[in-house]
Amino acid sequence: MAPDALSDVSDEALLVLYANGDPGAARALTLRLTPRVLGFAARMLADRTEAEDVTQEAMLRLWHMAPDWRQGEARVATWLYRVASNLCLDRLRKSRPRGLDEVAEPEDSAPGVVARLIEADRVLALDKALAALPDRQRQAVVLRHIEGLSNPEIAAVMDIGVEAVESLVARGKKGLAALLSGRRAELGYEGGD
Amino acid sequence: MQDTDLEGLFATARAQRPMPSAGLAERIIGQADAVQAGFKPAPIPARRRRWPGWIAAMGGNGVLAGLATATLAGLWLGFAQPAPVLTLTRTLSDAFVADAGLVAIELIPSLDTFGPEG
Repeated sequence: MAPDALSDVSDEALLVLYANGDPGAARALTLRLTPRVLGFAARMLADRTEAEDVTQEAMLRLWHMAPDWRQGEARVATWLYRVASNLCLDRLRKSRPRGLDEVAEPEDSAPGVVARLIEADRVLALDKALAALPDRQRQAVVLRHIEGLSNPEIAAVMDIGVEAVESLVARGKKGLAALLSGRRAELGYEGGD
Repeated sequence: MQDTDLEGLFATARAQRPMPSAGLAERIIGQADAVQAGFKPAPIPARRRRWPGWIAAMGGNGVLAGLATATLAGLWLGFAQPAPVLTLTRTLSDAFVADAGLVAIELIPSLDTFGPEG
């Protein structure tokens, strides 16, 4: 099936098409899901190369699992976030603690464009603050506020209850606020506190 | 840092989602194609045979075996006529005939009248 014809097809239907041998379904799924997984992994690991490895591994597991996918049991994106989460946590456990200064600088800040610089500074500050949070709090905050998952979906990804998710998100946001408290004016927010 | 500031930061981060490089996307699609090539084709349905459907309609192999046993038992009783069965048959037959008063029945009595007239 042509990629354009697949734009309105659900992730689940695409996965079934892929399992049935459709040649265009994998490309459509890759273009749709890879940015989400990569964005999540990059913020969890604060390392672009490792994030790409995790993304590739998570997508590979998706391809292998496709013929056994049970329709209606879970969302494909939620399943993928869960796999990526576990891969990220495994890598974080094996690696040494990451310091704030190890978060990568933006690759291209478009010099001369003040607005983009300010935005890049803000994202960098947020990423550094996220990297300083405990792993589970970072995971919950990124899934909730950047990836846009609902609390029940995050509960499924993290294999915990919804109340635990709410608690992790609240503690994570409180931690972020504390970490960024001295940088309000620097990041372009009026009236620094 | 206030909640609204954090929300603004999250919104900016959402808008600046890191995009996969062309190389990453191609590697992932290449793996997908390789995995897909290893999938077994869906099995072609076997030619439908009549016997299995017929047996299933009868209730399965167990019911069929019971039916065959009953048939053989009936045939054996008919041919062998064991003494208890013969006694029972005679008793019932005598009782039926005595009650109904039927000694003999002419199934086609009219044939007798046509015969003498030639």
